[in-house]
Amino acid sequence: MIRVKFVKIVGTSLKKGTVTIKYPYEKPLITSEFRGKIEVDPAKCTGCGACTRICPPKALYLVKEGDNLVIRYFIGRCIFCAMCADICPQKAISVSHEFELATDDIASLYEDIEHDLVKCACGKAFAPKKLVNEVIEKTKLPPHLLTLCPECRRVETVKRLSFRLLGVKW
Amino acid sequence: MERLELSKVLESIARGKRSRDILLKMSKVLGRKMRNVKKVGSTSIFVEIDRDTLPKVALLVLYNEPDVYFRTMVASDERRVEGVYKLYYVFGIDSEGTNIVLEVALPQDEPVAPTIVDIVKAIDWYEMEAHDLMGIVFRDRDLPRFVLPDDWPQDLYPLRKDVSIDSIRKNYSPKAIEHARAIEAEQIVKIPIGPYHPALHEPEYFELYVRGEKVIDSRYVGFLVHRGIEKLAENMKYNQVPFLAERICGICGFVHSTSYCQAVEDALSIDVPERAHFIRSIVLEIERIHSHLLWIGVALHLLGYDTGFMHIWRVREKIMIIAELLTGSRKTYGINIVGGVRKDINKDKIEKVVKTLNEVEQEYQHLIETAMGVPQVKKRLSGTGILPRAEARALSVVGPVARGSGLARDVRKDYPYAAYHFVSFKVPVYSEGDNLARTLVRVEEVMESINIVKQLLDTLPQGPISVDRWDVEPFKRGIGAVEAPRGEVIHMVITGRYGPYRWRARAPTYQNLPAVPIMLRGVDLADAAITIASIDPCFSCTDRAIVLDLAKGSIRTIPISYITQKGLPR
Amino acid sequence: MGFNVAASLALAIVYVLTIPPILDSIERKIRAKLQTRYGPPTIIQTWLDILKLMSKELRVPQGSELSYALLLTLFILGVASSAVLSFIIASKAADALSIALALVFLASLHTVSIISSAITANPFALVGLFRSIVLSIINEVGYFISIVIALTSSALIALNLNAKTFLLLSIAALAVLISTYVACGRLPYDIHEAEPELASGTLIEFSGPALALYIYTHLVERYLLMLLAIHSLFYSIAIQLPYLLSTLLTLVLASLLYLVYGAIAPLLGRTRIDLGVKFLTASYVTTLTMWVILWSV
Repeated sequence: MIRVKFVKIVGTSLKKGTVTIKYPYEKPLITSEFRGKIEVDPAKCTGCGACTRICPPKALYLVKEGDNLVIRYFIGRCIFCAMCADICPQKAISVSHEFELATDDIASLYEDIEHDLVKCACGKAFAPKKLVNEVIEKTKLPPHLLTLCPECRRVETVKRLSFRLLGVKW
Repeated sequence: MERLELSKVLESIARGKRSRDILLKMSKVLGRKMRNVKKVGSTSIFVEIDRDTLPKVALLVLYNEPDVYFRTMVASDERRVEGVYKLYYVFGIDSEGTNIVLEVALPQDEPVAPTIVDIVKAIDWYEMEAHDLMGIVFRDRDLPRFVLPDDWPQDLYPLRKDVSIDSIRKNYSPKAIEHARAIEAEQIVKIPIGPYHPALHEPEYFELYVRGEKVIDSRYVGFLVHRGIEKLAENMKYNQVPFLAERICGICGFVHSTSYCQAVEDALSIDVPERAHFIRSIVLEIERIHSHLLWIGVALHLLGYDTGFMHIWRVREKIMIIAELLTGSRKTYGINIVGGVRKDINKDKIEKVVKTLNEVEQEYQHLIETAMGVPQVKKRLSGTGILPRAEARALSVVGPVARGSGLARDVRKDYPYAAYHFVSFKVPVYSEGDNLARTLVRVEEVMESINIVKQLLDTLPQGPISVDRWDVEPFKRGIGAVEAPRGEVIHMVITGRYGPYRWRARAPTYQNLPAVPIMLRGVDLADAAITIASIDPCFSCTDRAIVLDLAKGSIRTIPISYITQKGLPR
Repeated sequence: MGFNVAASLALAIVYVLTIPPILDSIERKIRAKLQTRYGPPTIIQTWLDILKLMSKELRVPQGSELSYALLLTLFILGVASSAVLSFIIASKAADALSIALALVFLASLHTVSIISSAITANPFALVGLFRSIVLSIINEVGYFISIVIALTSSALIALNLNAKTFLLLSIAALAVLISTYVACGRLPYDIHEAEPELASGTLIEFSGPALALYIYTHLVERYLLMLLAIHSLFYSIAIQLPYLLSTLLTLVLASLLYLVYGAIAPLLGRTRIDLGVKFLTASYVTTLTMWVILWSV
């Protein structure tokens, strides 16, 4: 008459014991696939900025500081999606398992990668040295053109073309 | 067009018998007023009609058909493209899996359209939202402030293209207003629940009008977590939007990113590889399992049975771990991109997943038996919060709310997507319409989902997990729909150069909330919480679109009196 | 003999005033075990919580000043009830006057609790109040009657132990156990302060030392209910034992009953007022009728 099926929970509880993990005194429960904070390898990074274009919350962004280009990683905005790691052409970004990132010093949440910029003949610093060297290696395009800024390069290309095709020298 | 030619054209466009019949009926009613009819994407037929013929079409042709349901309505500012505002009314033919979309153009200096709320009861919220956010005026009906707060400036329509996010910031800052409410009658007491109540999981505001213990009526004021997501996406790139979409909801985010990707893939006819479809379906079902387990735990907690809550969530933890193993994150998986997925599954993972699912299945069945054996649980769930079938049909409710009231609606069966063509599964339907029916629907769906995942893992095809490349064509339209744990999620995308031109994300709770006042009538106050919870409300899903700056820094500047603005008596 | 009674009285008073929070901690640990988690770290956790609350700020919300005033009355009543019941246990009293006194004190304790919810300005508390009153009316009556018939049965057993008297005691025991459980305010009958989403009773008004006082008195009251119940059921054994032993036995058995109830509560859900009323009325009417019929036979 009185159904006591609900008492079965006692058996279940006794069998399972205690499932709580005493974090942080025990290790946290993460798998091998867990996506934590990213690490950028400054040696491999060429400063192309692809990661800053794909980053959904704009945690990675470019800052021009004088003659330097800085790729700044603000951990506070990162959503740990690892799109940057997927898209980096140099495979310079790796995903770590770190997630214990809380701090009371916001300055420590900014990580910078600095790049020296190539200066054009006209004086404008337009692209990171490493990126220009990479392009020179990969494309076999003439280096004397690639070390010019886009405006000067345009002018120089027209000059050379018009000389080669029309014999006109400027 | 001559009638004979017209019917030949319609037959070639129609996707099956039902759509052909309906298109022919429409052409009889509209005659020459039926303009451009074209196939769009893989499941939709767009019909351009005059705004004056809208009520006729809605009534005579679409809503009276028993297998046609209203799915969503999108208002779009296309003044830059064609010089008009457009309204897209999406009706779905469940039995065939076809969408009939009525495209209504409104001149830009007179964005007025007739209301069809008397015909299609479910369109109430959509018309109010279109008015609030886009400035479309619907004749012959009340258009109160709906999504935006009461003190929003009059002519600032956020979703219009000429309104930038900066100009919204400049023109609006929330103010505190004093509200005085008189008690309506001596025995009727208003009990406000929300918006920021410690026991609620999300900000929501229900006003229950009670007499003694019985609830007489209720009022819902929502959109307290409106974040401006649709507007935000218009400034993002295609592959950044899935991450935004995933954050529409903290429990069912993956359905939104899948739905968005499907809408874009539909618009641009991108051929997603098989393996990607399978992986998406597997993760979708895992999300369904964890969401239902969460809901069951919460329902048991609301009924006072906390021990059940603890145990069910203990089982759910195993699902969260395999979700992390498969996707890299316990929630907000981040593996969807337009054209496929980003993360693959290997044999090792498959083994682990299958093992865990078997354990979960066993424990879960045992726990549900035990929980249903607790006398208070069953007694309080049966016979309370009844939603009659006729009302459910009139409001086009979706998900377990519909299936608990006898309507056999499930997007996976009616408008199949991803890998659901390749699996066989049951869709549980109960006809009582009370809280117990909705609970049992969800309980059984967990078992079915475990079954589906095992089938999918078994038959996972080899191949790439995303397309190599795809090309963007602006101003193409696509619709993507997914069966979320709470019901049908439907997104519509109009493509732009680098990102979506217009994105409409409609979550299931938006469709289901109008049914709550009906369910709450005559319910005991003690059961109000479980009745509201029985639609599995996801207010974050419901409240997406427009103005984000409300939250920025305003936790400090908005005093408690702002909350009184929403109607709390003080 | 006077010394023995005095010693028993001292034991009882000290026990009643110090042990209930420890029983509460043990109950929390049991509940945690049933829910596969750890629960409080020590057995004295509730005492530590009460002491911690004493050190917190006292903030009197607008409109609840009267509730605070009544709180002191509640606490004094609690201590007085403890004294009365300790005396009854220690001296093995079972006469009508003593029992009536005990029941009156317990009823007043409960009533003052309810009144303090009634006089608050918090609209949520009023909803819980209605349920609390309905439940209390039915259950207090049930409790009174069950204690009386239990004591009567115990007295009859003391005179003559046979099948009939044992059966009488068993029926009375059923009524006592049900009414004591409901009077504690545990699941499934915690509805006067539950539905935390809607109606949370007076607990939300009290802060700091006031809350500590309220919780302490509430725990002592729960224990006193058990004490009277065990006293009425085991009276026939108690009168045969020396004072100190019978007192100790009653105190320990009451503690065990407290913990058994604590283990049952997590297994159940919360009832609704109409379902609760139906169940309780049916139980008390049935048991009383059966008892009276059997008794008159």
